[in-house]
Amino acid sequence: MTAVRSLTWRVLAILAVAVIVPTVVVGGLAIRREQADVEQEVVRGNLALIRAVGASLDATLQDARRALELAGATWADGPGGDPGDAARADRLVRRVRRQVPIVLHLALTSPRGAQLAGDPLPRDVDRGFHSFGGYVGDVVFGDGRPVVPMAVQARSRTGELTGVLVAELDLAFIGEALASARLGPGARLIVVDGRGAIVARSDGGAVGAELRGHDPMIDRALGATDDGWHADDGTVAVFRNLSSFQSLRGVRWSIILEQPEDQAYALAHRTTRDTLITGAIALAIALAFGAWLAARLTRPLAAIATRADAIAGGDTTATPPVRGPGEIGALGDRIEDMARRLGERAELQAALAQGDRLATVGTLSASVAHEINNPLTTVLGYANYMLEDKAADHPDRDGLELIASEAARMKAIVAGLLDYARAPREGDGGPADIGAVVSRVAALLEPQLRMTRVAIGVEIAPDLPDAAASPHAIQQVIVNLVQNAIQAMPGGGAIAVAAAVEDGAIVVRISDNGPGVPAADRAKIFEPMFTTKERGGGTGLGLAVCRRLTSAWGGSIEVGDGPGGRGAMFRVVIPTA
Amino acid sequence: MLARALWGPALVAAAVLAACGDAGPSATAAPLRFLHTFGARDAAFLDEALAGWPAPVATSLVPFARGQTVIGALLRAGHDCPDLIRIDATWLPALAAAQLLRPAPPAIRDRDWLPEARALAEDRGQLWGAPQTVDGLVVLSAGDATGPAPATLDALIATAERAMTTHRWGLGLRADGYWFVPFLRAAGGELAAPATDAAAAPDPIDSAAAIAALTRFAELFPRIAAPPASPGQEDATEARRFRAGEVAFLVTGPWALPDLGDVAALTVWPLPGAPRGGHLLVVPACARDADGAWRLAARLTEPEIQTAWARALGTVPTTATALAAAPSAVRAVHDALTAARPLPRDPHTPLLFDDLTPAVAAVVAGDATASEALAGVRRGWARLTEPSP
Repeated sequence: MTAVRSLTWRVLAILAVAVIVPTVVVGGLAIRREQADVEQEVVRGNLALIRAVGASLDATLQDARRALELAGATWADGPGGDPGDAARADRLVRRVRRQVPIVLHLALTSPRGAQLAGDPLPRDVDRGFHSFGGYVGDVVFGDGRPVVPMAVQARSRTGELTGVLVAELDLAFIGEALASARLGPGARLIVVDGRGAIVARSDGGAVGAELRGHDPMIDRALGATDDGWHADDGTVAVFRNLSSFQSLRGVRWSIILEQPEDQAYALAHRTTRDTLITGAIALAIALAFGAWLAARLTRPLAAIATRADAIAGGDTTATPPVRGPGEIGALGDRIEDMARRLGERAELQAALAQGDRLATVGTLSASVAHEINNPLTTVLGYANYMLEDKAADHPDRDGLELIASEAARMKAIVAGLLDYARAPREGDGGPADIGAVVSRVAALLEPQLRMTRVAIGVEIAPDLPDAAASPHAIQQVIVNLVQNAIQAMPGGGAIAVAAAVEDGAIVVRISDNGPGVPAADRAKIFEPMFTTKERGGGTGLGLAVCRRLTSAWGGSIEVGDGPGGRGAMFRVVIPTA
Repeated sequence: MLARALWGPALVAAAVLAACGDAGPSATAAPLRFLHTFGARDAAFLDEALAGWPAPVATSLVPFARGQTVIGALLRAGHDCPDLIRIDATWLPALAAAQLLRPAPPAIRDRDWLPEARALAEDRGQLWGAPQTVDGLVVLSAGDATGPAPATLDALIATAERAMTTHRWGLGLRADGYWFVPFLRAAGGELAAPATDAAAAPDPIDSAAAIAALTRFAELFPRIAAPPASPGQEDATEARRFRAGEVAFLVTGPWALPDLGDVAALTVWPLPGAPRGGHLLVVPACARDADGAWRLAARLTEPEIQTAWARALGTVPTTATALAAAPSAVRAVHDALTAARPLPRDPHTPLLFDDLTPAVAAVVAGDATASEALAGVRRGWARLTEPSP
């Protein structure tokens, strides 16, 4: 369910709705229209074919008719003026037979039907009177050959009916024309007369059968007045009337091209299939591209989520910040901005907590120191007083000296607490000459340095400006740090004190070549009561006081490795005056 | 659930009722056979009309030129008989006289036929069919008919002559016997076959008046009338010339209206002495389904269909209801045709044109004189009444 609601799925769903669905719908309509167009093209192509074949058949019959008309007119108006001249009639018949090769039998009759020349005619043949020029009859099959009667009126120049030429025409040329037609796969051509009798067919099948009333295609073709098409029972057919062929009933013959639909529309079906395959591939590519696009779009979001989780867990270094162009980049920037603000707030809260704790320690220390200091002074005073009259070998002297030294140490601790607890005084803002302060510290500690065989080097940058801090406070800090360094090197060593201006502030570096401060302790050494020294070696307040003082003047203090990675180096920042 | 449970039995019951009902002709019944003489455009409308007919109908085209001969032979043979036939009104007397047709039933007789339409379907006092359309010759003009309609042929010719310009003929005529009839009538003649009774014989077709009429008719070409079109191209040529403004007054029939452009702007005049005819839907005596045929005839002459055909094909309706709803141009043609005279009701009348038209064409073409041509026509017509050898 979550996966379905994910942005990736939503992007894919949008793609589907916005691209795929319209593509499928529009594509489907286009395919349907294209299929219809191709089918219409098939019909048009087949119609064009039967028009060409039909025109050829028509032309052959019209040529025969015109030849008979011309011969009849010539005979009707010929020299001699006597249409009843048997010799002229014989010459006419012979000439027409020569001129019209499809004539099998030919007779010339008078306007009243009396035969004047040519072949004998059956009595039931319509001799073409009152036929407005002539006619073509029904097909008959003599010796298996399709034959059709044709009657053509022979009229004189005055329009008077002089005779009628009645011919039997051999229609074998129709079968030859159909057989030579270039047809599509599975297609066949049929010519039927007005009764629906098959006159010829391209597939060499049987002829003569009357199909009218039995074949809807034939009925439709013979009922039409021009051309058309019809699809039924898996077969598509186009048909056209043969205008020159008219049966005894007056129905025009028809030429029909039949073709199985699957073969007639093979191109349409193939085109549809190819279009569908191409469309499916295109859609698959579109979907894959959409998925890739969605993943690409959501990957930074997932990284941002991981980053947000890390930030929420308080570890801003576990994952790198998410950067990028556009909205994703802007979101990443906002996340980093938010993380920075959260860090600042955490630091602020920690600082506040630290401040509270230090204030508590300070207040407690001041109270304790105040209560302890006076008795200690008394103890120390009496101890020193009692020592004054004790000889060196007096048995109480060692005990009294121990009391005096321990009391003195306790007073030092109390003094430290009082220093820590003491609020920075107004007017402690300097100015202070750092060079003078450092020189004074060096002079102050010179006996201790010599006793512990520690060398000190001082390097003060020329033209160093005055510091905006109390000289006493600066001295206290530097003394603290130098003493810590001396204590860290009980076997002797070297201490370097350098002061210079960096980034507009005075930076004092106190470094040594002692053991240094372990990384794990560096964040704690500025806490009150934290010490790495042996018991009795330190109060745990020196560095805490240093930080309190540096914070008070608006500077900072931090610790790191000494030069060359050896020892420790404290970096104290003091604002310039 | 209940509704779903009832669906099945309800469907079964509906199927049983449908199967048992006798709502009309079964789709598996033998088709009603309809021979017609419609042209290509008319046949398309016929197919459309038949598409809504509840029974199958097998239509066959009979070319008009041989219609009477073909149909007569078919009905006399008696086999392979059609159920319904659309015939030219001039064929009716011969078919009725040979008792090849059935009289119209009361449902047909009692329709509101226009008088001139009813007359087309009557013979010897009997109604033999449903009049399907009225036609004949009228004069059409696209803007040159400014005054009243000419009362005589001479006046029409004079008007046409005045309308002639360098690029326009005054008249559109055909070198055809049908178009010659008004001129024959204007000369006092009539299209009449020679009677077997010599005493009742009309003036012969080669009378001096007829010769003069044909001479006058032929002389109009191409002085006033446009040259005759090629055979078979008459309709298309006349329409093209008229639309192009090459003919001022076109003599033609309502069948030409769809091809003449904006028919609403046409002026329709009666043609003095014009022949009037029409077409009928008749049922042969040998019809297998006479009742079905009469029902179809009634359907094809209903006002709804006649009005649609009038709008699309210019067909002049045969009922008062349909005529009232017909376009104005068609009503104008109808009004003009009321002044026309039917051709003689004689079985030989349609056959006369077989000889007359070639003769008229020969004279118009200059191949023969009117006297030569009409003498040949008289001989040809004489054979109509002679016994066969």
